[in-house]
Amino acid sequence: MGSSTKTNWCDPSQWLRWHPKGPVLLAGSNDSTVWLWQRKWIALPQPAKVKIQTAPQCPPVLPCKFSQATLGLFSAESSHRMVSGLFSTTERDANLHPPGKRIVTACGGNTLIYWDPRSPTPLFKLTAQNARFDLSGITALAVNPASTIVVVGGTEGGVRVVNLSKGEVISALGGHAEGESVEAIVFVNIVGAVDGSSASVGSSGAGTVVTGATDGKVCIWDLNTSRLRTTLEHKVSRSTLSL
Amino acid sequence: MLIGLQDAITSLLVHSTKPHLVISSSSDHTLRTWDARAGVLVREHKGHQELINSAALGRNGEIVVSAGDDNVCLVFGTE
Repeated sequence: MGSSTKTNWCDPSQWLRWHPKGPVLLAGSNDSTVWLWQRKWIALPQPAKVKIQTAPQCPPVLPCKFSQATLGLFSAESSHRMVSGLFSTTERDANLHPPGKRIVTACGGNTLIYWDPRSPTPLFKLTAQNARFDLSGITALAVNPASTIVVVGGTEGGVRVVNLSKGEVISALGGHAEGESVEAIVFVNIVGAVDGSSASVGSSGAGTVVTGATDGKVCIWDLNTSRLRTTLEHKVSRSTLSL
Repeated sequence: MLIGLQDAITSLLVHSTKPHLVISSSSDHTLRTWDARAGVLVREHKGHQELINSAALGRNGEIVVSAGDDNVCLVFGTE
């Protein structure tokens, strides 16, 4: 487990992620740290006048409070806030690491770190000192279903694809306008859509990723070829008078 | 004449039971569902008066909930 001299969590959290399987919560903070919490639900006495109704398929609903024990604390040792973080993915056929066994975090100062939750020492760290990884600050990231690749977006519209086994930048994806921040990244299952199965994207290669930015574009990328498949745009029609 | 006006994408979601569908929220006050395989717009949800900050899908993918700067959360059916 991660270790630290810090005992109180006082900085505001920036984001929260549930572990894909277990009762564990990952919380990113303003002070460039990430906390790993163990969840415990403690039932409280039910208020006498409250009638609890439950559907047949739902577990009983009880008043409860959130209790926690710290499992680990990871620090990027940076003056920047922790902008995002993820557990490795939920797919059952992940062949590199079982689901939730690794953590990826991104710091606003353009630092990407890959962690084993059992150790406070990163497996690897990528910073702006690596010229291929300089995004002028990270804003979004997503891990593919096989947990082999992380896609990272930046404040200036840049997108990088990083191999999680080697800690190396595989490719740079240029589709968003320069100076426009990449706000969201998700992996999408094109293969499952074609054959009607629920086969994972990872089973057929690097997969297909979707990025959205402040330029109003949604870009769909084929990571097997590092090519842009489609660009979708939010457009609203506006009437103007042409003189 | 009509011209296009682009607005920022604020979040992306993948549909939980139809993983080829992507839902985007935007500062143009709309939520849109796209078919990522065909690259076409499937559905557009309107109702917010300000930009949409975030959205989340129900567990079975039948509803999507959006939260906006207009201090409103809207629940849309995805079908």
